[in-house]
Amino acid sequence: MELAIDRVTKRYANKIACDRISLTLHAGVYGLLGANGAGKTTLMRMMCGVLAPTSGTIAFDGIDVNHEDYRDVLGYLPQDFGYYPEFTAQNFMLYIAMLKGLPKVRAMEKSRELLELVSLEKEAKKKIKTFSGGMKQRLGIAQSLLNDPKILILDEPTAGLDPKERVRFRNLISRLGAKRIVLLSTHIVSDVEHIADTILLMKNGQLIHQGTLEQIIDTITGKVWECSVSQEAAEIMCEKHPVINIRQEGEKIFLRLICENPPQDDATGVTATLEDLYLYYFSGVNEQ
Amino acid sequence: MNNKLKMGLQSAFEAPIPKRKAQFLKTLRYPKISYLSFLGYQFAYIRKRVWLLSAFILLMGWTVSFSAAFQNFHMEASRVWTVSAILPFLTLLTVTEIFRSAFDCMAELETSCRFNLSQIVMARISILGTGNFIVLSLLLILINRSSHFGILRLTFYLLVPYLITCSLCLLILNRSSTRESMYGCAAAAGLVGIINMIIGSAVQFYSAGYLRYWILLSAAAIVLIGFQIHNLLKQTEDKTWNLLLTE
Repeated sequence: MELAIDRVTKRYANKIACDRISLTLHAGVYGLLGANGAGKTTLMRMMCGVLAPTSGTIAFDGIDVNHEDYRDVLGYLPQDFGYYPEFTAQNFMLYIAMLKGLPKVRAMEKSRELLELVSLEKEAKKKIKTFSGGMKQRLGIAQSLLNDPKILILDEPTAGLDPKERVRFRNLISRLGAKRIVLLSTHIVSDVEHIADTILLMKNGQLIHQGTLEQIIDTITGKVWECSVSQEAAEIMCEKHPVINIRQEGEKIFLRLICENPPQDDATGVTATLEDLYLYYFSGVNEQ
Repeated sequence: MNNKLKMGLQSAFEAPIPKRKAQFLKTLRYPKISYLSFLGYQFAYIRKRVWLLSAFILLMGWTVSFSAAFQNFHMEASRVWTVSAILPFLTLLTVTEIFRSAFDCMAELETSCRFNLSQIVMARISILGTGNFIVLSLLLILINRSSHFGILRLTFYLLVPYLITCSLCLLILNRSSTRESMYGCAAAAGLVGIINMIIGSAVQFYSAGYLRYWILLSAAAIVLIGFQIHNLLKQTEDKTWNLLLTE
């Protein structure tokens, strides 16, 4: 099982959304991290055949992204998906099942099973327009699994879910990653930290890092510091370095920041986290 | 192995209880539905209002042709424009049904499915086109029974408003397939309907001498429709449909 992305570029009139991205994905969970406009959604859309790349190829076990057989093994949850206003959750599932080529009996069974999985079995006959954001998101996750996909692409799957649901879905996605390629994008760093086997970091349309959590964090290991400083010193440090955390502590200001050397003599070096790395790259201070 | 021995073995040894049968069955590949079945399912997802309006137009055609209420309509033209003035609204419903995926933000999800957006659009065009063809054919048969225009002239009198509305709606929706564009299409349908009524009140436009203009209008509308359908399918294949909204 191999999904090969070879020098994929997407160029719009005045912007390069994805710039010569090459990747090879095998079974497992891949977390795609990046700020807004980094090119995550564009890359995912190209991987789903929704957008045509300007150049480059995408293929799963040799099957091109534009081929029907590729779509046959694909499950996709877009960032924003709509629904026909008259649809109930069950109608929606049956409609998508039909588009995925499932025969009616199989579609009924699978819809019931997946609605149960996302705890929507009691709402199966209710119109989607009455659903909350979290319920719609759960329905979106359920539809993406209808054809038992080998490639599962989830664009912000945990957006709109409450913390309990998020944990449930993190566990579900982890399980799904055992037998298929799961690629998920999110702004919630802790989601990626908990479930992704491999983390992909995107910035300005380019893949700037990829690896396991430990490999990725290695970039800033020994560069994360905590210290308490005066108001004036804090302002200077905030301009110079990416600040992860800032809070008032009596007369002083507590700072957690990233820099090559200790920002002052009594600064304490602390263990780096993925959130530190994310803010290091996307805080603005470190912009090139 | 003879049957006696088989029976003997079956009675002597109990068959083992299947292990993880459900999981095993789930791993089996199942046959996918054919394009023809997909077309059948798509038919079921066409909204009823399209068929209701079609039935209403047919009823109107029947009423105009046979009802006593319309016996005072001595002018042949009146019979025709009464029906043809409502045909743009059938076009409006048809075209908006074809563009439904874009209006309801389903395009992205549908594009990623096995039967993708361009196949869905083709299926809708085929089903609705066939439906409209049947309605127009029955109208022609109905009106022709009580008209002296002849089938050829009647065809053009009925087709022109239908085709012009169709081309205008496709032109509008190919440029912007948002829900708001539907108002533009409704305005176009209304405009064609009104123009049709104005022309209808001037009987000379239905004379044989004007037939070449009706033919010319039909031909122009058909060319424009062909061009717009080509653009529509190209857009769905190029995967640019409705994505500008979220880029």
